Amino acid sequence: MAHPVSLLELSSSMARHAATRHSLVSQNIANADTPGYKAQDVADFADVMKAQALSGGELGGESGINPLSIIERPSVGSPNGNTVSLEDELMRGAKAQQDHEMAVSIYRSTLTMMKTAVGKNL
Amino acid sequence: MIDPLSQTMNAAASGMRAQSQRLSVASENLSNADTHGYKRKVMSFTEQVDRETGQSTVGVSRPNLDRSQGEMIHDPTHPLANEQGYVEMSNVDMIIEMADAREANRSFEANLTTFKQAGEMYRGLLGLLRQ
Repeated sequence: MAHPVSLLELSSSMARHAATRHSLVSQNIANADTPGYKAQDVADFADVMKAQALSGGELGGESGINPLSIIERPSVGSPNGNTVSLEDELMRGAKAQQDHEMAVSIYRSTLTMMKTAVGKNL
Repeated sequence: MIDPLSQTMNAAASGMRAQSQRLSVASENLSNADTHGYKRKVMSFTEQVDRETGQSTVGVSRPNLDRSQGEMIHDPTHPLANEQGYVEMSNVDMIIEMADAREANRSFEANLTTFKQAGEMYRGLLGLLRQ
């Protein structure tokens, strides 16, 4: 059972992950026509959480696998060595934005729960 | 490390700047398509990485001239004709330039989309302060 405070940590690290992925998507799109540029990405948040749970690290903590380390995404390149697909990146960007929105909503409702618990009028 | 949302905005802004320069080169070529002896300009993009923050943005190289020969047309009465009576046209291919301009337009819109998304994500975060 997740403690509310760890829920706050979890959702904020999810928001940070989504924002990082979105910034990489934006860098990929900016370099969509740069010869030799390789598309970059971060590991999926679910995979990072799974790896942390297996290694016994704290959820959302700074320990364990760095969820923000950058990897190169393998994909088919164009003749000039660029591996960015504009449509793919736009889709990932929209997905990252949704994830960020979800994380922020979870954070907000957790805050509301805590305020209710301490009896403050909303 | 600066926060990812401003990295997004920086990268998207650099992308939009680069694409609009590309569009302006394409339109310069198009407008000179009928200039005699004009050589089309070409440019390419380079990735620029900020060593301090690890942020990757895009920059443009200086435009180079494509020095291939334009079409030679036989017209001895033309003021620019050489001894054999041939005039060199520009080496601009309208179709290539149009395609380049269209692609620049498309990439610009993609950059604009990510910029707007980052703005919305900021708004969501700031909404947390407002409750």
